Amino acid sequence: MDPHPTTTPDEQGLDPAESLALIEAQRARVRDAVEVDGRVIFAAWGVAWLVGYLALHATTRETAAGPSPSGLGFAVFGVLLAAALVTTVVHISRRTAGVRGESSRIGAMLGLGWAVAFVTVFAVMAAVMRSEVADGPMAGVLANTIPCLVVGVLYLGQGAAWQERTQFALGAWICLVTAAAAFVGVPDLYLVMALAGGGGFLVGAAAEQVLRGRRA
Amino acid sequence: MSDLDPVIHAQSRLRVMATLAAMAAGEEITFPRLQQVLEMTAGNLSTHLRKLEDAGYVAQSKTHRGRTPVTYVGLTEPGRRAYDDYLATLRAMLDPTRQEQTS
Repeated sequence: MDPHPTTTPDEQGLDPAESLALIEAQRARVRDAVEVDGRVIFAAWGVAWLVGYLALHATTRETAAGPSPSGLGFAVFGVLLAAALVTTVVHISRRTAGVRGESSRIGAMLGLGWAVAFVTVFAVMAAVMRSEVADGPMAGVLANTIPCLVVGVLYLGQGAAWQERTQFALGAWICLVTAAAAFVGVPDLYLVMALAGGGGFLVGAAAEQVLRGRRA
Repeated sequence: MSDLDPVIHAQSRLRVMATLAAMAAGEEITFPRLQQVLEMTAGNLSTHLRKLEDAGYVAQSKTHRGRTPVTYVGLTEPGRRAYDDYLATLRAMLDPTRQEQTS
């Protein structure tokens, strides 16, 4: 189709089938240009959790303070999480640029909510790691449980705010996996988080793909 | 009520209406972003927006972001209703058995 139609084709009558096809094409265009694509975000975090937690698991060694991943393991994990965060922020800001209304206000509040929650997470973790807990076997468990619980709860809230079942289900699943991992403890906690947690995000991405196919 | 609204029933304006209607009620989009989604020239888009605005289907609000003027475009309530009616009429024309679509 001519991307820059002059006034001429406008003057010609459209038949109803053409009109409907035009509407469908434009809806798809809006979806691809303006709506946030859950597949992108879930896949980014799924890969980051799967590979990152596997790196933590693979590099866990016995230390004076109990089993702990190596610096390299933490570095791989950190880089992957940072990459997923950048992917998320860039994707959302590109898609939602130039749009205002209720959804952009909800989005801004949720974005701020994530920031406040994670500043709190880091502050609480700093306090925990300064205490005698840092020398015990619960240090690794708490360092995982605190942020993951916050992620799970935020996904629950986000799913409720957007009325997105996939996000809500993912939030509930992350809470469940985090609780299970806390009982498993280091080092296999990392395996649980990689496979069930990272895997959960990837299943979420696949679910979005299926829903998208049904809507189209 | 079987005639298609002539304000909407033209290729470019139908694309503009379909785009704005695909967003949630009350949402607005900046002119350059709308232009990007529609792949229309600024002049062409302005012309069609003016016609839709004259019909009361579209509202344009001018504001400033810093020192840059920004124009937001959105469907009005009557615009959304007119679009829904257009769509219902269109579907009824394509499938005359679905008479419940027309009031």
